Amino acid sequence: MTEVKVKTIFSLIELVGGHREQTISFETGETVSALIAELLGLYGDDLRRRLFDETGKVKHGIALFLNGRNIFALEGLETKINNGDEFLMFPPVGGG
Amino acid sequence: MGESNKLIFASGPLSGTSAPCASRMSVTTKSPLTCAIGIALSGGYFPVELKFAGYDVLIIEGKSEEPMYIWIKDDKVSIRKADKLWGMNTLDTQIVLKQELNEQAARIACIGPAGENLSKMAAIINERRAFGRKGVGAVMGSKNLKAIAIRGTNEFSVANPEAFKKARSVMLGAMKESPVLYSEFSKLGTPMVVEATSAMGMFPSENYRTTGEKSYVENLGVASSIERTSGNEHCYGCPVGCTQLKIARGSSKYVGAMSDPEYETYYSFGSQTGVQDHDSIIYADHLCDKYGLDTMSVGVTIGFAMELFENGLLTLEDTNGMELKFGNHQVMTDLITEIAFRREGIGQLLCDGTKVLAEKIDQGCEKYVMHVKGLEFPAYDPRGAKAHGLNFVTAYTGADHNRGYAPQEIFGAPIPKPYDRFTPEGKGWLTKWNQDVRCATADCPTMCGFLIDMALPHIAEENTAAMVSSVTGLSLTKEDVYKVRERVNNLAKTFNITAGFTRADDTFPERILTEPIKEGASKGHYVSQDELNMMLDDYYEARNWTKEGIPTLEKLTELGLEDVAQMLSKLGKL
Ligand code: SF4
Repeated sequence: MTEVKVKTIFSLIELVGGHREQTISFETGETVSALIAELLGLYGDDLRRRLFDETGKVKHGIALFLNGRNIFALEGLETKINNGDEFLMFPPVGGG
Repeated sequence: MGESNKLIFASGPLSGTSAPCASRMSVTTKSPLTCAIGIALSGGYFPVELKFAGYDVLIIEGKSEEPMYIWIKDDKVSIRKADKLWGMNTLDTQIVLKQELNEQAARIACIGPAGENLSKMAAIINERRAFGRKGVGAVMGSKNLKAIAIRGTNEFSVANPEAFKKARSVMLGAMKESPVLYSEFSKLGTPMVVEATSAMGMFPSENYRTTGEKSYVENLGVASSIERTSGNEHCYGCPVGCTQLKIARGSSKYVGAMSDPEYETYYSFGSQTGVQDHDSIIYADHLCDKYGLDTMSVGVTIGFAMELFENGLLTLEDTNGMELKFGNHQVMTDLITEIAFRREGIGQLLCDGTKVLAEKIDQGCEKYVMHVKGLEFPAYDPRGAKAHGLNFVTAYTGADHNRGYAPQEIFGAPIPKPYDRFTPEGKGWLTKWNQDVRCATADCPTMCGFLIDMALPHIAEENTAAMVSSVTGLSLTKEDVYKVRERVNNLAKTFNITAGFTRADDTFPERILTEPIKEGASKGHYVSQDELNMMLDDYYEARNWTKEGIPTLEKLTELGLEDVAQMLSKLGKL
């Protein structure tokens, strides 16, 4: 069983049960893909449509970080996850 | 602030056209805060008014013996006495000057008491906007120039209307496609970034000593921000309107204060000073607009002073009896007035920014002083974003996020490719890339940088080439745009070399180099001296500069800057 802390910010919060932060446990696989599958199982199509386009690719502007690191600079959705890791999802953000 | 310094107001080739988000103008001068080249940009309506009056650039030279203002009405220019305006805040100056000129449609840029009192953190204010940073307001004050008022009534035409229409529609299409520009940014503006950098553990807290340990999301995040939003404002010709007007609510002494604090201000008057009171930040922002002060440098200076006070390096005697403790919003707002009027005691100590304050206090406090080349840090702890930090170190204006923002690290942007924000590898090249893109596609055509980052990153250079060519009649290619950006960065670097800057100035304060962030999503990270050396070497190499950071003859020749090479050679630098 892998336990991961999942965090998100503003407009994505309502799509993950209203939690800014939650712990997700899952058994199948130990990759970001498996974690997201678990989240989609829990929160359904609204979350899927927000994160992925029709071809199944992560939408432009969505950013995903594992322990603070951009997963697309690692192994993408196949990046390995360990028990106790922290996963952060951003809706499109800009400015500053 | 000598008489020979120039103050240059320059609108860009696209300002005044119907290009979206192009009402931008830069003010360039030798900065009294950094002694390097200083550039501050603003939007609103003032930039296009200069164009409608028939001018691209306004260069102010010399110094007046007494306070004056400049009045430009199309081709009539007069320099008039400003003794009635001197001493007035910027908001009243704009109202009174319009009455005096009997011209309600005039657009005005002016200084407030801070500029008159030569605070090195003084800004120039137009409407509620600011040419904020690097002390440009002090340079204007040193020339005894209170205001510039402009009314332009000329038609503005473009060289090739068909090509312009086409290029503009490509731009508008890209803006529509952006996943963030209209859907999030026009509703939330820059303050939404508080939540992003907090989640990444790099929203700086209490002069960087508690970054990641304290959260400001509940009090300064999006929900709290929306509660206070009373509308948004647009720059001329901008369909986005990112500026969020906030009104202080509730029953505190700040109630009713109105202003438009940006993300950076939520940092400088919020987390940097440990303040959680949202309404006091709105009030502080309003005070800075009114007095003509840069919110960023002022807040960072106050945060630094708070740490000095808590460490016993500033005493109640120095502070006129004020308790400069982190989180004390009353003191934070009171200090702004002390600074603007250079009041005896604490006002005099703080009014010229962190570098001067550190020099006055000494006693080893440089290790906590958060600036590069005298310019106070923006709202990103560089320990959690190394290319973003390397830009602070190498930008020709000092610690300036706008000269080479790294969206790859702050928002996970995938262009030119995804980056890991903690690693130093490849960050020299990336920093050059970010600086060059920003320079050529936002600063030079004077286009709003938000647009470039959020809608056009994949076609930034093509867009600039097409837009500028259609407006001016030049035939620019993408490659020409590449060249312009390098020419500007090499010229600016050369200016700084002649002003005495060396590789040793391209560095961080000790805290960034030695203290790891203790908590949050950037926990354990810092920039070691070895990492900084490596990134600097990598950066200089990417620029084809020497190990000492001097542009090479080869590079300057390639850019057609042989005269600059000759000058460096005469100085014995090349
Ligand atoms: S996006 Fe914001 S800052 Fe940029 S031009 Fe529009 S209103 Fe002005």
